[in-house]
Amino acid sequence: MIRIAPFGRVLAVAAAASLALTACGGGEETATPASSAPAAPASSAPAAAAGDGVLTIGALLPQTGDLAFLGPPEFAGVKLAVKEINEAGGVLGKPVVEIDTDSGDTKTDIASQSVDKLLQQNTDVVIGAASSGVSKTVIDKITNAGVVHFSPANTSPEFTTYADKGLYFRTAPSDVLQGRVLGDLIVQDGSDTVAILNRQDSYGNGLADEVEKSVSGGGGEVVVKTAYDPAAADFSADVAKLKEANPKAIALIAFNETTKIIPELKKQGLGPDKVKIYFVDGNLADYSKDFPKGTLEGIKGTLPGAKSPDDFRQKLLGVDPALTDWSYAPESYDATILSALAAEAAKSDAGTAVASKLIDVSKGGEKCTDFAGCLALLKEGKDIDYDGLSGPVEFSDAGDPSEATIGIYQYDGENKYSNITYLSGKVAG
Amino acid sequence: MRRAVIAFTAFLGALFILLASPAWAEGESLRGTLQNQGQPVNGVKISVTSGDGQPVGEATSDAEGKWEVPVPAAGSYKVTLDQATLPAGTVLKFKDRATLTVQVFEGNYRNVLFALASGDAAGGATEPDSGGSRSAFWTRVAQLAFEGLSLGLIIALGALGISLIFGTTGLTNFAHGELLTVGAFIAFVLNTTVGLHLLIATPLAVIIAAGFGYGQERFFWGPLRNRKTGLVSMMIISIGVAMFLRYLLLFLFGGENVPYEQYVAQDGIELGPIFTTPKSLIAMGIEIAVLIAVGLALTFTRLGKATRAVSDNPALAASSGINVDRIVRIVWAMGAAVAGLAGIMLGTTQILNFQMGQQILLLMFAGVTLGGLGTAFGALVGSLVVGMFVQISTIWIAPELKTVGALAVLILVLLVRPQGILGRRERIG
Repeated sequence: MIRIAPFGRVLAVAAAASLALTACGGGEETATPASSAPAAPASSAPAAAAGDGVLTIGALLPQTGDLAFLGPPEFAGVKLAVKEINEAGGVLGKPVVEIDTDSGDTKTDIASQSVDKLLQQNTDVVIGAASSGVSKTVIDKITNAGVVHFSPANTSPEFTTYADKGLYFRTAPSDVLQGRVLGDLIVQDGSDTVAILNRQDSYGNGLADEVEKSVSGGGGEVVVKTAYDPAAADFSADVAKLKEANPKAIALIAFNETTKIIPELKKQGLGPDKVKIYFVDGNLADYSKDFPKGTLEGIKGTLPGAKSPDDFRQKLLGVDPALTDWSYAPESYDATILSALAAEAAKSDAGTAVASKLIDVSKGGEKCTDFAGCLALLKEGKDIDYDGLSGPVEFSDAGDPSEATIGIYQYDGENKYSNITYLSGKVAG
Repeated sequence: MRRAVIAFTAFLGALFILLASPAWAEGESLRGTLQNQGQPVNGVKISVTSGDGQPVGEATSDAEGKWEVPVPAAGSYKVTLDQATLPAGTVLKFKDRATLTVQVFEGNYRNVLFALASGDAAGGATEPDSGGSRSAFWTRVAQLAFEGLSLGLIIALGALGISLIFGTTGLTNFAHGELLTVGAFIAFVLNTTVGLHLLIATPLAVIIAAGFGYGQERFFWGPLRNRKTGLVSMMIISIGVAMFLRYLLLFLFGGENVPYEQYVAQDGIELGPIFTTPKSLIAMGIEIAVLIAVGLALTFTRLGKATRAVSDNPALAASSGINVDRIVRIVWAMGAAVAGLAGIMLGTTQILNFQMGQQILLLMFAGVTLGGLGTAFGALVGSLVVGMFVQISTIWIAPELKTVGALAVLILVLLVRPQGILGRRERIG
């Protein structure tokens, strides 16, 4: 029989309590906190259409996990937008509140805890997550609470038809477009036998299907299509399966497992010097610190999003001076601005009210390109059409951008990528 | 003057003719490049008809093999390659794909690929490696067997420690995967922060890992055992230790994959049917040497015999004058050292990540259980079987399910031999 001394018991209780408390208080507030909003639990029935008068934006973006490299530019995009909105007088006369939380990745349950935290703090719009797999785990929880789920980076085609109560929106185009562009690029480079190696999740399978459709539609042949388990200890068997099919091109649809797969491809004689390798938005990143010079030279990749203008990059650096990557920063910025404009147009900060106006402010009306300009037009009672940094952002009825730009990039000897060209297209048709 | 007028009229006429050429919608066209083994194929006629059979246009490939047919609008088109115009010795790789139905999207050109091959028109394409699919299959089997051995050896190094610790103390140590990770990251710190070459950092890290194992037993597990903590409680504690260590590493090093400074992304070398890298071969050599050394030490040295005696029956061993506590500490130090080495090898051949140990923990347990709990040599055999099976099973099952195959074998073997391959039956009574 082990007896714990009373003092020990007190210590244990204190330790447990402090753990629980830190877990609850983890979300950092970066703007003026909500005035005297009642802390009603928002997780139950849809929030009352009235809202609490303060537009609360919850950022649910990756600080840890597979997509952590996408986090900093996305957070910076949201922060910059909130800063500009508040400088222009806020929404409904009050400053917008931003709450940052971590979305983790699909291997952890961080996203679901973060959403609970956001809902408890009366969040009206959740900006996130980056990974389609993560968004899928929390979309029901968010939309059931009557809160807008607005992702700057989800590209899985599944969300177009998902039963989201009209509350799910995104500024990143569905992978129908990226898959089409990537397949066309592979065909253009003259590869008639193509292998696809993709992550086994909502994003990977969706994009892989679109690439396959596009490659075989253009006259090429997908000789092998393999999904891999992202948590596997090694990928030699997966690569050996590709090797057997002897492809001329490989589309690698991965997150940061790429740093494990590329050496394996090189090892088995499928390196970028032997076959043409293509990356996608999930793994198009700066690998200058991960690989020796020249490892990735010649690899091409696709990334949704137009060129982010230089002055926008300068402004982002003002928010986060450590930024080196810009992926999905314009999309995050646009998502935040659009939410604020929709709240202003609806004259309410409630999630359902914001959602009802989001499609309206994205198209059909007088064009404007920044929050202050759009706000002035709204105040004159005009219909506006916000054209963002990520593109014209015209929402379809499903809440997807109906038109978008995909950039095509290529790696140089330093393992950094630079743009070759941008292609625009309509997602439908 | 008159001449000037004529010249001007001619200029206008030319301008008119230029402008009158069919004005297609901006950008929409079908195009492609015909190549046979990297060489352009010119003079090939390609015709395009609309979906309902109306001719749209024709093109002939130029000296670079390029052709382009503008189309009036987005939609579905039939593209036909006239096989009669192919030069002698060149045929379509797939005879039935002389006509492709291609979707053209609004505002975009679409690339179309006709795969060409060398051969004569009558006999079809003569594949240079016909019958190659059979040899490709056996190449893959050889590659997978080799990868199985490589993975099996790493699992064996880890499993050795689990098995010896279980044998001497009865503890099922769920934190053993983290011993791999800790060892790998100690070497990482020595390698990147301190700046030692990996060849020097490795032995140092192994020594530090041994100290870590010794300290864990001396100050944590030993006292717990002395307080007569139950084995199940200790097992649960080990799960806690595993999580603590894992998230400590996440906190210290972040969630990204990181490589060592040396031997990253080596080029593959070809050994018969197998592709590998020099570093994998050296790692396997080290692993085999260590496993043999540990095996010999267990069999022939006084310490090894004492370890096996404690493993068989601690009470009896203690009564025959063996210092059980000392043996257990040495086992912990050895187990952690060998696990640390496995971690470094895994980090060198794959990549470092805070979850790397956890990812193969299940496989290590499978190896230990399969071989027979508590027997060092059983752990070795079991691990090799598991490693081989994980990799080779991907010939028949999808690679993302490879771990499932190994666990199915575990269940089957244990149904037939509950004590494991080399285990002894439990003595009853």
